[in-house]
Amino acid sequence: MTIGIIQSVGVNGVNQKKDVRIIQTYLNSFTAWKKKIKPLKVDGYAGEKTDDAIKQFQLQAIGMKRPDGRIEPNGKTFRYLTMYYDQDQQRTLEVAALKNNKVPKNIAITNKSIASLAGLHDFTVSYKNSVKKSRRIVSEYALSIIKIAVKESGMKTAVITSTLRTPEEQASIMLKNAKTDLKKQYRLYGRNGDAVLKIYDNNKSKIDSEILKLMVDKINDLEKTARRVSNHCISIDGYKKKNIIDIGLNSTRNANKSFNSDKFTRALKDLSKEGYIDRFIDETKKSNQCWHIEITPNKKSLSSYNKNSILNQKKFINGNPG
Amino acid sequence: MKKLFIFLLLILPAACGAEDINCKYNDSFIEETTPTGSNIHSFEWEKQRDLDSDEYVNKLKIVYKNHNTAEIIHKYCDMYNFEYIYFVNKNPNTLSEIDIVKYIAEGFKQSELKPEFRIKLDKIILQALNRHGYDAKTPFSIGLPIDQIIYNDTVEYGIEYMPDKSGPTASTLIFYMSIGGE
Repeated sequence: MTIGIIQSVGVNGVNQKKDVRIIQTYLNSFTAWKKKIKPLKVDGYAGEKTDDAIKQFQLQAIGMKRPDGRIEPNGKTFRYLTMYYDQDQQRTLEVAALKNNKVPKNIAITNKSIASLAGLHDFTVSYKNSVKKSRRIVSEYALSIIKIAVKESGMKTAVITSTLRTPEEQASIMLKNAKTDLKKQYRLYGRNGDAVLKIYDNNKSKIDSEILKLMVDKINDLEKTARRVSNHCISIDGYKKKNIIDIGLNSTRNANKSFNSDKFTRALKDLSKEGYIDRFIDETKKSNQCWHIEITPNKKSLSSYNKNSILNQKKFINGNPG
Repeated sequence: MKKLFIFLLLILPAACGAEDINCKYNDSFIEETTPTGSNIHSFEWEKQRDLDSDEYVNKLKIVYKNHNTAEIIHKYCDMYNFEYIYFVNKNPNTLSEIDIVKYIAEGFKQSELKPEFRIKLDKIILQALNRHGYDAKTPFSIGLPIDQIIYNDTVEYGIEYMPDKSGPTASTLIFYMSIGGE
């Protein structure tokens, strides 16, 4: 049985009966209300009471300023409803919802269980072994943003597979590949990369170290006028201003007992919409199989995760509210 | 017959120069539309293969009524490259910032894949020109900010400008954009 809802539930939602039952059961299992609400009848009908309960959850548990009363599959409200459950618990709860069974009391979300799981300290972001120590320079701020996405997805950890590539490393990769199949390299790079490949093309007769130097010079020249050869090719000074990160799909899957690619993608996408992530490219279905994100350290305070949120952030990550 | 055979021998290598390659975008990717606009004198589509990469190239050449010309180049295979080249052929032989924004906006309409911009493309270009310290008599080449783009793939884009008083072309403006790839 796949877990989760198939279509939207609540105000102006599709409200398939099965999905509504699942949401009603999740809402009943959430007992950490600041302002108590009456348990819902699990009947699969999305009426006023269900809509109101969704709005109250968005208001009280997520801290949304304008609750819309609707839950999308793997959207923010659904991620918050399920973030404290592992996959087995979710399955138990959803089977109970569909078969009209009682939900075991020990998986209810209480104030106590939230308090024990509050904040981001239980979540980790690690580097894959192949990332050199000197390249493990992602800012604390960016790591916190990733941890939020990890937590919202019901996972425990994410694995960084790539950070920055210096102009020397970039040139070295391009030289090696150009020697194998230059035409293919021309097809894989845009105008800036092509300009670097042209340097190789025009200087083939020279020794490698000379070609490499010319290619590095070209990459540095391009960077002076804001032109990047590849997503990751940036100087260390440039990297400190903009953290460029690949989070590996397979590495992250292998490091988590509970893994949900769709939820993690949605969490990153939402953080991008909210302005915490400058650029987000979902490359999980491409050959490099990763989530590519770019974050400006301390660009925006993490005000959504204040004490009104069940993330229960005690202080703002960069110290400034709002 | 012998002459025909020699002729075939001569043209065959050229015809077979570009290899057949597996591409994400194939040779039917670009629809050869008719450009409209009261300022257009004539136009012509051309198909080529890129000599360096074997990528497909569909080029639209436009002659405007004011004697300026433009080339719109779509180059594609594993990724998509779009280039808009505007040649100013008569006086005034330089372009103002407003001209640059106007011509790029016009050319960008022809691109086959269009990312979403967080702020409008014309504002991005104006900001970049101001930051660079635009001078109509000095050539420049600048990348535009990629964090202003929303697109689920790698995008790079930029502008180049070459004022050239000595040649037959007074000034050349290039807008380029690449989607996909490394």
